[in-house]
Amino acid sequence: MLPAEFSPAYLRQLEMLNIRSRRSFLGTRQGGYISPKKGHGMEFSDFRKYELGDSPRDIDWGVYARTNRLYIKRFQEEQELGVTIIIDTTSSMHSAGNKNKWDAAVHIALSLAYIALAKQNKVKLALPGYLDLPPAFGLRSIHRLGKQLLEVKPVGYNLLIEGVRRTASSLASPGVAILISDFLMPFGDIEKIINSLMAKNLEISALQVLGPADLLPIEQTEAAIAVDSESGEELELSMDASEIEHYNYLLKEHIRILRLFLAQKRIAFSSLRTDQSIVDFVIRELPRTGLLK
Amino acid sequence: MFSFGFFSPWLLTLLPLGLAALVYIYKQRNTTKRVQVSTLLFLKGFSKRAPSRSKFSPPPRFFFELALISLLILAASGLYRSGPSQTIAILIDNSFSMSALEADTDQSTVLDRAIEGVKQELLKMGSDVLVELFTTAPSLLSLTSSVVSAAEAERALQRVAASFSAGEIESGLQRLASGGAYNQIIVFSDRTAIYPERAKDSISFRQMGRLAQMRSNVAIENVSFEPAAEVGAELGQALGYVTATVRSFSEEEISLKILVESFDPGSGSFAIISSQEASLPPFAQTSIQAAGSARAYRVLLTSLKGADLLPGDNSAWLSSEVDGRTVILVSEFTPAELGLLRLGNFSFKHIPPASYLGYSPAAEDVFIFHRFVPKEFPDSDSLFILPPERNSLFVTRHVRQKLDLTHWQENHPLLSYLNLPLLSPLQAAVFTPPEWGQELIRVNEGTLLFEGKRAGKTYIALGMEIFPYEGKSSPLLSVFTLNLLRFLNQNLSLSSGFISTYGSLPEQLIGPATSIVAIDGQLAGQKVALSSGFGLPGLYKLNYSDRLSEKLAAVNFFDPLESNLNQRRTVTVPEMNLATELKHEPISLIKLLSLLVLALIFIELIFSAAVSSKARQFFSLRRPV
Repeated sequence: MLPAEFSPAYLRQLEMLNIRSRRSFLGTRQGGYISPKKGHGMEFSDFRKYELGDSPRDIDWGVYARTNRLYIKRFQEEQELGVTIIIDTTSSMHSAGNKNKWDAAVHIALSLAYIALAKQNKVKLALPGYLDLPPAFGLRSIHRLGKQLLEVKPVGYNLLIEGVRRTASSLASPGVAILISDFLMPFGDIEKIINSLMAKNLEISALQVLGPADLLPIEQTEAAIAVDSESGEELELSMDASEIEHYNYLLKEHIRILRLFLAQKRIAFSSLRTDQSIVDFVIRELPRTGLLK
Repeated sequence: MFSFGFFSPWLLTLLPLGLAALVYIYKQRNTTKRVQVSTLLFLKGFSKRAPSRSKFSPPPRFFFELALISLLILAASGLYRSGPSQTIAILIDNSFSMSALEADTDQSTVLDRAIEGVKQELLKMGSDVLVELFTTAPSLLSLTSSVVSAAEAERALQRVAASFSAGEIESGLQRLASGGAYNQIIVFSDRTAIYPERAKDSISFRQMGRLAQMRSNVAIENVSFEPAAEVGAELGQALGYVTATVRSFSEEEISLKILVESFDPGSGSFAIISSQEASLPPFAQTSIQAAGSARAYRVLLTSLKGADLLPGDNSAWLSSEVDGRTVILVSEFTPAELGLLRLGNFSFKHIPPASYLGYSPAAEDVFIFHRFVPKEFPDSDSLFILPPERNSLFVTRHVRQKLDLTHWQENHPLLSYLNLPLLSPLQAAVFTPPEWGQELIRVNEGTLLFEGKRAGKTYIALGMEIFPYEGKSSPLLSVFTLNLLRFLNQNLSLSSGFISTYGSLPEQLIGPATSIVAIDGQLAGQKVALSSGFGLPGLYKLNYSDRLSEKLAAVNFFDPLESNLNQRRTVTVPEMNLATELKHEPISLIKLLSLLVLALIFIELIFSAAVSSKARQFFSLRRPV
């Protein structure tokens, strides 16, 4: 079951896109991704001298006629690409002032899953701490993924790191991993998550989703009680205009450092504010950052 | 200087309560707010400040809401403005003479000028002056119901119209002056005022109409219908005579044309049965007679040469079928013996004096007590002719010597149109008139004729014999007799065949009527409410529940003093009982406050819907960052 925004026109636009990976991965099944493995495929690779044991059917008889030497024609094999989409399901993605933050994350995840499935890739949707869905093949499975995402309930923050680690360890082969989160967490934890994914030799992309309450969590007030949506921790505080300005500065600094950290790890990063158009983000912004092509 | 007050001041206690509640709500909005955030990561550095008690800096919307609450509480408390105000009564004389055309204009009447004068007067008045506007005819009537502002009084001027009556300007003035409710009275009239010394400052008389100018008018003075039976057989097939008397109120000779028209009920139109041109010397009168057999007549007067400034008295109507009341003759003589059967318009019933005690009259009956007086006044209008010397109702003395006329009450309807010679009756009784009686004819021996009212009934006592009725053979006595009967019978109507404006038809005619339609006159073609009376001259048709049954009633107005524009009536101005102090009339401001609140709410609706971010910021609950 897909959200209402997935109109036929939008789906046609998604079908025009593909997941891009800078690295090559060997797949296990035939698919739409051109793997480094030479074999039978549509994409010509190179010629090689015929060796004993090669199939005579691979000999390029045209080359033999011109050179009087035996060469065999080699093709790049089209195999599936393993795409793992990890969505942060902690409470901060569902917090009170950010109701559409989770919806935006789901929209992006399903869009990416649809793109991958349309190109006969394998898609694994991971909800750390909540559920790891079995790998999905074929476009038909997009509805199952959509339905399961709609039923997701927020989980505690403490389950996130362990959940990502478990997801990574469950992956049999390397591929592309797309991590969707607000990344409003200490850098130590972000590092742990990224490292556990890099340990599995995954090509990682990070997509940040921020809601309006992340940008201005508390209105100007003499006193308020801020409640952490994940830990439940409470903080009594006062906010005036200058303090709100300072909060914005801290948030920007956090995102700037996050960008630097991910860039060092050669991880693509893109950020979406939920008041922006998600369709534009998927169709235009993600190809620009290199996640899609 | 104005002052303000409240009808319900105790409700003002809501004002501090409302203010406190509003401040509390705004403080609450800013204080104990629990906000769920994605993370406390960036908020840890912000600590709580002690809430500043002294400094409450609300957003602009706070003041907007405070203004709304304050205005509503002020309105609920009944805010009013009061100040010393002068109250002035303005009387507009709208009697018949005021409808006279001004000699120097085509259409403007004296009343129009008076209304214009009132408007000018109202314009001069300050906002602290309250006015009550009155008209005087047919009786004193407040057009504004109470004292109002000058602007409101000006709007009420639209309802002023000339009336077909002499009005009650003098009694009206008396009433207003004695009430002590006004600081000043201003009268707009064409009459002349006679002032007592003390009234000059408090009652101001604005005389309308040109004083020096000759104001010429001709009028139909009287119309009557005499059945053929009264005047002999010379009329042939005609049912009777229509007589119209026309009088000139002009200092110059006037040529005029008089038309007598008969009404055709079939077509609803009038056909001329007589047309006569006449030339009237100054202040002279003339009569025209026409034989007719119609149910109703119209008499029209046109001036051919000479000004006629009062067109309202140039038409008159007559109906030959309006029945009068039954006249009960209490006498030793029968109506036939007294010649009364010749009076075809009246129905007579005879009761011998001996049978009077056992008789129960109907309320609308009229009695003629001929040489007989009962022990008590009857509960009906009555005429006593030559009462016996010893009676229980009047102090009567019989005289046999020659009587000389010493007093003649000219203005009374009974005697206005007669010029009786010196009386020399063979038998005569003079009276000592009771307190309630008005002496009309006095002779050297005492009162010969008086009229008065007791308990709403009219009683006339005459000390001379007028019977037998001889018609044309004894014209003066016959007219006198007819006037006596008609006076009693139709209460101030002057002739047979019509009633005067604002008069009432006999109950047996008007009571069972289902509707009244004006056939001719100013209201021609219009339905007239049964209760509204007959305020305008014309011919009216009374319909009854039986579809075939209908009656025609004529209504006329004639007053020689109203038609005579050269002889101004006088008004004796009473001394005024001034209002002792200036009034403090409270003027409620509730409506104004309510409108203000509505306007503010509309402004908020418009601005909050508008795209302007500045406006949104103003009406936002947040303080601007």
